Amino acid sequence: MSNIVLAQAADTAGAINPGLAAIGYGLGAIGPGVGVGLIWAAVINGTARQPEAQSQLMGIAWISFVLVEVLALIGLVVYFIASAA
Amino acid sequence: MSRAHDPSPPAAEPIASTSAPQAEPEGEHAAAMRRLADTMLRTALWPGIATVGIATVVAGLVVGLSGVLGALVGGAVATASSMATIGLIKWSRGMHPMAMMAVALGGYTGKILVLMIVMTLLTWVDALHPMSLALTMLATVLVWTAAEAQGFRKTKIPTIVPVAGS
Repeated sequence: MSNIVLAQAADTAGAINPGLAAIGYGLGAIGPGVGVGLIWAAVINGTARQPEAQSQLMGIAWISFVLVEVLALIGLVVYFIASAA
Repeated sequence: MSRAHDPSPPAAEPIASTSAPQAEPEGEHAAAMRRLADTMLRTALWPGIATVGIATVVAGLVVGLSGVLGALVGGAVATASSMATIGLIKWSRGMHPMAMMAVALGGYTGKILVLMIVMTLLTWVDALHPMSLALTMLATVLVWTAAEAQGFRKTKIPTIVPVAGS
């Protein structure tokens, strides 16, 4: 009996519930969202303290934004793999 | 003299009402952002396209036609996603930082939402090989990001402003 149960578990081990994958992706998108907010909060602070440094701060902020955003895209790809399997 | 009886048109009236409006001169910060976006695009475009091409060939050899289609679609989605960010930088270049924060967060939310809908719809397309699509997308996004970071380094924006005399 336990062998049958184990065999069934092994069969379904590769497949992830698509709803579970979507929830995981939603959780994974929170981190980059917080990161983007922190980046721009720092830019606003920095520009208020030193307005002439705005373009330098913006450049750093945008490249940080791109790097942070990749995390969400990786999560999206993982969600796609899990839900399409 | 009343203007109602004056047959001659006023000389100082703007005559460009039917033509394109004149662009305002770009500020220093906006010009720097445009330069950054152009450099990022120039640096990342060809490596991204090369990655899609290599992934398409590999998927075609390993999987077949469905792999080629999956790799092309995955590469197209990743390229569109990355170019959307560069478009966002160019579009918002003249804005105040507080408005730019709203633009960045809104752009992030909108992009993630659109991509999630697109990817969910793509799971129902049987003609595409899912793993080819996913891996091509992953590789393209990573290469684009690395190239964009390299482009950012090329702009030589100082991260530490040296103090004169120190």
